[in-house]
Amino acid sequence: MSGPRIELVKWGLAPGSMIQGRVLWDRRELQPEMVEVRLFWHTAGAGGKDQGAPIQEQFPVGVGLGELAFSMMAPNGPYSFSGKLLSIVWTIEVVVATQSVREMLVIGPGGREVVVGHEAS
Amino acid sequence: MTSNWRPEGAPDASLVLDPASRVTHGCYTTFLLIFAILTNGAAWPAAMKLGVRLRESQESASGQIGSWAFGLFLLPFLALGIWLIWQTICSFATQWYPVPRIELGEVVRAEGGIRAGSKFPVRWTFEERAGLFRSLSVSVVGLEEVQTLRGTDLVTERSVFHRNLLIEGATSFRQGLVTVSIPQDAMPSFQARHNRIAWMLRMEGVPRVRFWPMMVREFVMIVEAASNS
Repeated sequence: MSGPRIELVKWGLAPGSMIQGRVLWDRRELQPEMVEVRLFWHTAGAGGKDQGAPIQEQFPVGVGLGELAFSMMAPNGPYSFSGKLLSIVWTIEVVVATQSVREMLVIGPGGREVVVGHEAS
Repeated sequence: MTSNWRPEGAPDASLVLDPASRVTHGCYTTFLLIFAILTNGAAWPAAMKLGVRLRESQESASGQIGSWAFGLFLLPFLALGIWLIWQTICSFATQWYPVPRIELGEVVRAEGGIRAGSKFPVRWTFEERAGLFRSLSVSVVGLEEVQTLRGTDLVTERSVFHRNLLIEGATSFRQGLVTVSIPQDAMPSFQARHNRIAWMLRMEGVPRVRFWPMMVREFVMIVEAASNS
């Protein structure tokens, strides 16, 4: 295995619902005492980049284990968004000892991103 | 990095919406004025000097060709100077356009703010100078707005993703009442340092004087997520 890996039960979540998943790593390579899970939004697109302060939780790990199940509450917003000039993207980052991994997830009504069409301007 | 993405300024107890700031507009007018002075201050003296030289006609044939070529070169700068003067006058004048008073219905307070899917009455009143305009249109607009640095300039770009025309070309508009509907699946308002998603009540007045600039007034409405999402 090359670095830690995240598996989520659902990658699209409604605001305020539980994010449930697990982190897997090579126990011969990494022996963490704690695993940190961070959740944050950032913008992408034509404008300058903005990033939200991360919501982070630490989970203790039993000795010799190579995986950890975790759950945390999805925030109420902002929703994942895709527009013409701006996208709002949620990212989950897991730090296992010296290594980390990031994956994108969707937080929005019905577990879906808000996508907007555009009028000709 | 920011911890807050919710826009400030949710409707207060009086339920009156504030217009977009005039400070930015004042800066734009000042910028136009300075640019107009610089452009005209350089182009017109050069053009007058050239005119005197051509009228006196002391130059050789090749010298006259050179002067005419310089005259042609000056033309776009003279046109730009005139355009800038017009834009400065328009920009200055639009600052004195009236600002209507916008009041939201009590239902907004009862629902704890404007939510996706909500429907509420909005009343407007022009307390002064409404007679400057021939007609008025009112719409609800949802837009993305981003700011980016291009060189040393901070550029703002907008893209409208929702427009609902509530009234078009009304000729009697000193005061009025409309019902605003925010779509059920509307993206809630979002505000960060360089990016925002905004919902606005937009009023456009067509002036009685031809070629005079339109009145555009925007009133930001803070839209929150639907209560069931």
